[in-house]
Amino acid sequence: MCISDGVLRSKLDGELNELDASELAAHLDRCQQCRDRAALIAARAGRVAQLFSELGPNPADMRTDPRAAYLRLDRAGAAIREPLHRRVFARRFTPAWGAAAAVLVALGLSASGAGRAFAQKILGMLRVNAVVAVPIERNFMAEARSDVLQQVLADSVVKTKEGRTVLAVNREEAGRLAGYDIHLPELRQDQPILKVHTARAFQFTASQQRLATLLSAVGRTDLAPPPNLDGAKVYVDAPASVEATYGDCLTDNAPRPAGPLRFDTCLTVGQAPSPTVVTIPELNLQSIAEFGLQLAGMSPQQARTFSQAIDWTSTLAIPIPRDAATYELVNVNGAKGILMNGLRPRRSDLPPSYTLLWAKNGMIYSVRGYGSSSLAVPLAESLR
Amino acid sequence: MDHAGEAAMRPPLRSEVLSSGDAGWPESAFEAAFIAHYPRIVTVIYRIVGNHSRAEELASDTFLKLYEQPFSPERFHNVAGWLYRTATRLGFDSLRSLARRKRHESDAGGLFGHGTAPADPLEAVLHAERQRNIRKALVKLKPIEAQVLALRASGFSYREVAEAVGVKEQSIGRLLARAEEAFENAYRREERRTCFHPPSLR
Repeated sequence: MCISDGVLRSKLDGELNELDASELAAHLDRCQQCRDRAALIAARAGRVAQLFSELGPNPADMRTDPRAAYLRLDRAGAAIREPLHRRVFARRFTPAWGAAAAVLVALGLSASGAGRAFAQKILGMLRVNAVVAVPIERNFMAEARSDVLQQVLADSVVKTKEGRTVLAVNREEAGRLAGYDIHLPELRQDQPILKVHTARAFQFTASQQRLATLLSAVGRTDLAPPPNLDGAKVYVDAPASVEATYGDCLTDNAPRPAGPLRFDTCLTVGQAPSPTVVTIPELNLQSIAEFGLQLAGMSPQQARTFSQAIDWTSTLAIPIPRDAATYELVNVNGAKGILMNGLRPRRSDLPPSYTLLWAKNGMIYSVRGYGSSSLAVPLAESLR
Repeated sequence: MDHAGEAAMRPPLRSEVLSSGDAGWPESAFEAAFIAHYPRIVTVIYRIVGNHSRAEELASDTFLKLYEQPFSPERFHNVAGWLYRTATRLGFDSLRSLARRKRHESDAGGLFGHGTAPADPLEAVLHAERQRNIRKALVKLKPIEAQVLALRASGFSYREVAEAVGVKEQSIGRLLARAEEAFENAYRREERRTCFHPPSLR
């Protein structure tokens, strides 16, 4: 019985154990046919090895420092490697999430029981055409009860479309992945790291019990939740967003490298089409907003006056705690924007940051950086 | 194939970092796996794609994919195998994608400044031609055959190759013999296709 090609090939690489190797040698001694095949296999292996040696890298070209590569990956991929829930609830997103939380909670609560009985008919789509700053007295997300609040909200949210984050090699690829043209600041000539967060969707179900827990957690048991609202649903569909990061930016988890850091070079430009919010027809957005504003610290009278001045079907409210940041209204190529200053980063070794937010033609844009915000508007206006 | 130098620098196959039972990747475990395997992964992918920047990019993609996986010692007892399997797959996917876009003549194989390109201009042209044909032949093979060849060319032992492609160690000899035969046939076809034929004298 002859030896298989596999065994002959293994012998050539010295991958047979001693016993098998000695049995094979004894067989080869008496089998001309196997010796011929062994010679054939060895010759072919030699030729293939010779060819593959031509693909071998030049050591000078392959100087790979894994620690430097790890830091690069950490910079580019911190958001990717951070679990979604941690990103959503990260403190740096507090303003946006505070608004979303207040609005989402209130959305579910203000829907009437009769409306829900009509089995979640579609109201229509709410889209962001403008942003507005809402100065609030307290930032309940930053207070000690934030963990309770996060738990309450996390339990109520069901993801229906799981997003993922993809690194794009250039603007064209990012545009292809996101499904729209990407705008980048012409004032920056360096190459950004482009991350595309693909579309995601979730639904939120209002619950009387959760609301009571939430109000208790934020110390607002004086606000009476509307009754009989269990089960009202809100659907949120968020299209793909793109984040372009320029310069020396440190993420929350990255170790601080030795030597001076050029924080003034760090800039993050974000863009996304407006999310779509769909819920039941009987929604009274103004009363929802009033509830949300009261939850965020406004008096009933202030909340009413403020909410009447805003079209809530097309406005994204950004609550800004008075003691945490200052803001000013600015003009970005004809669109109203909010420039927030003095935002405290999560890391204590980073200087305060600024964020400029504006909406135009169905898109929401943001520009974020450290230090002076004097270049924020020119950078925003240079987006092409 | 003499890869003694590379073999001496091999990271341990079963990384000790995988001792935690947490669902997500602990930062220190992920970093340790990265530091241990990244350089070798770049070298393996380089052989496939022939471009150092792209090799580093794909190596990073490999680790990002690893991070997206749930962490469990049972599932990831063989992190090295998972990494090299994913890395070679990404490398060959990239090569196929280039081949489809008819770009790999200029991109993957025509890099005179890379690899072991000789100084003699004529030999450099022939060397680049051979690199192109090798890569063209590789993408024509079954994925597992191409993976086995690429890993062996990078100095992997049979046990390491087996863990990376997910087969028994005893099967590697047979797989390798078959892959080499298929590769040589494919390479010869490419050579015949690209061989310069002078016009016949009339």
